[in-house]
Amino acid sequence: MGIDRRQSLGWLAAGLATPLLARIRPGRAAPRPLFLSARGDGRGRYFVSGFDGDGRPAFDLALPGRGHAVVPRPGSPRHRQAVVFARRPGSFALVLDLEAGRILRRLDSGEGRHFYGHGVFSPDGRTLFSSENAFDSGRGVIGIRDATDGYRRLGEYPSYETGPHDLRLLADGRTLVVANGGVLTHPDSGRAKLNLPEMSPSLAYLDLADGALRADYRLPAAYHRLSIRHLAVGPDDRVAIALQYEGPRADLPPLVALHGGEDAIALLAAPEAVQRRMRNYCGSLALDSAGETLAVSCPRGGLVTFWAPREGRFLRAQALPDGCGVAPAAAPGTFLLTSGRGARATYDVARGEASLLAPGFGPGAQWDNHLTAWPGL
Amino acid sequence: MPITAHLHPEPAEGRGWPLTPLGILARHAVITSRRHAALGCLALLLAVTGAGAEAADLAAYRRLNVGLAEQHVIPRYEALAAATAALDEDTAAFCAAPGGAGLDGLRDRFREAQAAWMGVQHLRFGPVQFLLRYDRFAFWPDQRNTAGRHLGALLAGGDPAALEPRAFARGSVAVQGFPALERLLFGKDAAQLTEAGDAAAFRCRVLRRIAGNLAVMSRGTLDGWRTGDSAYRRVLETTGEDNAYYRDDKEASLDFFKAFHGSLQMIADLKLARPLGAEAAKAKPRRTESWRSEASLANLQANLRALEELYAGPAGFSTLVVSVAGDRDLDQALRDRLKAALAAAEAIRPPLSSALGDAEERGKVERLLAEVRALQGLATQRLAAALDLPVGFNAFDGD
Repeated sequence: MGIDRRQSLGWLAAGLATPLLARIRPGRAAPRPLFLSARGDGRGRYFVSGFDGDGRPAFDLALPGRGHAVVPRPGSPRHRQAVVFARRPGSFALVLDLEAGRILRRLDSGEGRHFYGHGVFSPDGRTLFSSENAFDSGRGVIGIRDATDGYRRLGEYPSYETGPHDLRLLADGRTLVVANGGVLTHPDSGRAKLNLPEMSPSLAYLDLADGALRADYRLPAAYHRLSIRHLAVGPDDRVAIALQYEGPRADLPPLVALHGGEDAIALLAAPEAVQRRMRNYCGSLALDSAGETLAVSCPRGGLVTFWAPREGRFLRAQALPDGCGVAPAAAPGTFLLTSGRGARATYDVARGEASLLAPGFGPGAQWDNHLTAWPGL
Repeated sequence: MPITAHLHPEPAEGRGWPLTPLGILARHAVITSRRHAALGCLALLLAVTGAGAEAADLAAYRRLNVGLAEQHVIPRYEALAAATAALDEDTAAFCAAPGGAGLDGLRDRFREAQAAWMGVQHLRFGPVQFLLRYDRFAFWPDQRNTAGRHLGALLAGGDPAALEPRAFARGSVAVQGFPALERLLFGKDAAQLTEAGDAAAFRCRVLRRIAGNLAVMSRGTLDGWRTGDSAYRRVLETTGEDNAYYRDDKEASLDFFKAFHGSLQMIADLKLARPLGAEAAKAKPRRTESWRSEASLANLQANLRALEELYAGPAGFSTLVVSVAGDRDLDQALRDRLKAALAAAEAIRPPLSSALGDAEERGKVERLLAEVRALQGLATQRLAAALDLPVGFNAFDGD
């Protein structure tokens, strides 16, 4: 299976006192937030890694292939777990013990399914939902697994459009919002896109009680090649959306959108010079700890953009070559940013100030698309 | 289903969102205050994360880009324009002749024009992207038989207004290109082209419209590269902050690199692996490209020859690999692999659709696939790095 536990640095190996206490007496130690991300090492090997706010490694575990999103399991402190999904069209997902820094279990997408790379837990941490491709029919599905029973696959719901990618829960704990990217792929043809002229991305709201489609929203027809890929949910269930344009380079469509209630999806654009540099491609997004500042990364443009979602306003942009991972840091208005070239930096949006964390995880570290903040339990 | 060509996409106004809905870019640029427009660009971050070989001679990249435009791209679009013009002419003559004599000759013109398209199929940037031309030239793969359905509806409708040039160009992309034309010329109903009567006459009018449309698009793409101040060749000569496409010459070279790598990926994933299936019994011959005209292998060979020119031709990447990167090993490896891939393609007995399930030939197809994948590996693992092109770890489609 290729999981190499020796790759785990572990907290002991890192020589840190607090986690040692946490190891001995879980539940008594102060919460220790971590940042979680998949990464490459520049030599074709892939890992899932955790580090603290100062960038100190907590764990570093080899993966059987390139990973994508890391999804922490909420709920009981007894389960300090997260699931890392394979990048599409991968079929593995690994359950991690975030405290011990080891892999607990490998999940498989199962016959006729592959993972799209994202998932979300129910608020009680008992159920895991993941975006999957039923590739023989090309239908998008939401896989359902019981985290209390060895992550047994319970079944699936339709995602109601081709190519589901990111998915999030609303505050009620039962409404799932799904970014259906609209792009048809099949593992036989790798990552090739099979339907660009026909794509019709959607933002779908599902009721988790029965998988019924509560509502779905689409972009204006002229923007049918704007793929709805990644989501962040803010206060009052406002959904921020990061888009990827599959049309001509000369077009400069809006790449960030907001949705709430029963309104149409609102598209936001940056000033033209910035918009141009975004290169029609957003890789990741995150809200800050207050839910009032939005970071949207543009790895092709080598840029991270910042927005005030409440006012629908562009704030500023920060150059970061191949920058993609964004996650809220502790203080409101601050983020942690990572790049495919190994950079990790904290960023203060109001000041426009970045400070690099000390390098870690070797010279060739390539931070993958998504960075996740784990508050600690 | 939004499969019709939005030739002039008009951004719709945002509706209903209470937080300053902004649909139109230009308007928003005015609303956004100027002081927020500045790009933060910390020297510290760039120093640590910037590319290592900034000392490399950027002029060499511009020479590469302009040289490729003049010696690779434009001559190939000239050939496409000539071949589609000839096809257009012969289609008119064929349809004017009672009884439709000369179908075989017309099929030859089609094969020539299709081969010319295969010679530029790797170029997915520049004017071929404008007006959805790339998809209108060839809507493929067509998983849902859209071309068949839309062409069927067009023929059954018999509505001359649908063939009015502007209406046709704005209609379904699936009926506008080579695959649709191939259905008419080689499909099971091809004989109807030579029959008398209104239905056959309308079929011939559809044929003429597709051929005429291809000629117009080819001419437009060619002109877009070479004519006027906004010509794409000029775009490549004037990279910089004010250039709408490229901030620097490496970014433009990256488009040529993507053409090289993307074509290899298309050949491997779509043209070979997808029809091959896991074993001979699971082969899917009708997933091969252009199976009706039995041109799948000719297509592949035309693609590979274009890639060989893009790499090893007089204006190709090879010069830069040797002069800038000084990597003669890589240069030789790429040249050898390109030759090997072409030889592997030439070793297969056509048509490809039959070779897939053939005990002897299938192995050769698998061999070709392995060669193309090896080339892909060289391109991603070594060529991009040797040329110091900004291929991002996180810049892959759709993640």
